[in-house]
Amino acid sequence: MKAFSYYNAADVKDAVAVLGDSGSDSRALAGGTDLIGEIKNRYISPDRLVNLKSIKGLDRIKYSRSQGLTLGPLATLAEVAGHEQVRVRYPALAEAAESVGSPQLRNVGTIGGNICQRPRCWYYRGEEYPCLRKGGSHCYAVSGRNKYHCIIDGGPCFIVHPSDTAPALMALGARVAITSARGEREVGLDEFFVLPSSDPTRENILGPGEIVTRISVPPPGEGQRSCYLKFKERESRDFALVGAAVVLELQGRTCRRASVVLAGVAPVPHRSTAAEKILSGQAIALAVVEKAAEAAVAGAEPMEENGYKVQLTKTILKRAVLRAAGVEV
Amino acid sequence: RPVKFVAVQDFGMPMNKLTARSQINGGIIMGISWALCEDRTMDPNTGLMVNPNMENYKLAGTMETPEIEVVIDEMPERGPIGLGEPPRIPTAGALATAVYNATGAWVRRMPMTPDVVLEALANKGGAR
Repeated sequence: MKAFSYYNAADVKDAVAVLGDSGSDSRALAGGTDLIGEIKNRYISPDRLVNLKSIKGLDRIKYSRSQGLTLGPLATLAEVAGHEQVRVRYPALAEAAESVGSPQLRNVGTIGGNICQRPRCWYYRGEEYPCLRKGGSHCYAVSGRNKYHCIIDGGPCFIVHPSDTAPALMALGARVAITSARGEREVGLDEFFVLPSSDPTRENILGPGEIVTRISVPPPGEGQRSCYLKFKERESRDFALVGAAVVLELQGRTCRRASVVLAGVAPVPHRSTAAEKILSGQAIALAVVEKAAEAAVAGAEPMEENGYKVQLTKTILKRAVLRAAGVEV
Repeated sequence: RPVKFVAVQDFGMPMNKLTARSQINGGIIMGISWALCEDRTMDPNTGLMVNPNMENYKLAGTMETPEIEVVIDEMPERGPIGLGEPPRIPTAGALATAVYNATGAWVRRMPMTPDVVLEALANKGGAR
């Protein structure tokens, strides 16, 4: 790989100042489980890596009844998955974090890195293909091999967003703080991700010199239940074929409000407002859940090789809702 | 995902039983990998393999490995016979038969990943 310099950021202000220096190609380094792979595969060659792990306090996990959950982006997935308040109050997040990769990857990979990670599309990750996302003019998946690509909201690029924690965080109503040399802004996670129809070269709104500095999840509502399910092609370690994060606000058997976000179906974590509308205000039972599952895939546009994802999505949504509601079938 | 696998191997006179058992275990694991996970995926436009790496060329891992029971059917009167291919090749067939037993659908393609199994179920007319 091309030689790069390694800079240990002293604090956030220092990090964003160095990252924002347009004179060199600098990248933020957290766990490095995605970035180092990208560099080794030779499709990016930064001049400088800005290490964020040297910044004190960026990995803290805090919970309070009034404020909810505050995650430092450098908290590892293992720390998030193992944190008692996360497991008890936000099971969807603990389950999502625990489903990522392998124990080794979870010990090093961070929650901030997980939501900002680049796609796994084999054309994007393939040196030989100057695809749309890399600034080229063509998506090779359209007439190529696309069994893992998206079935919803695709075009002109057809990636799926690879994160498990992002759908869980989104379903839980999370917000992210983004810091640059110009200061801090906060957006809901629903506004953080970018569809290829807006810009096929980026997955999220982070600009040069910007990093995520905080992920905030509101306190759980009354009767809140949540879960994350993930279907993998290979149990031992794999990205999701499809995943479902479901958050329900239950009053007895009735679901007052539902939040459903899917992984593996779209270029961004996909909130299924169609499924949410059907579930809200209903008693959770098989019939209404099946109706919600059908609605979730109603507008799906499968590609040549990924039609199976339609059935998988219906099944996983159904199982996730029933599991979150504690309903046995 | 296989839960238990029983292998009955007859290869004449075993020369070293520990080596033989290890060979059978290894053949079964790689047979499972072949039948359930591995796929050399070619791009039709460039003729290049799109998954020449450990991420997307999937190998069986610990979660794909079942409880394996090995029975050596000893026939020393036949003399030593090879044990290179026998543990691996019928393993794939056994898994396909198991899938048929479980679902009523014959899967004619490997690896037998969710997309392939769903397709076989649909062709049988029994997809749920």
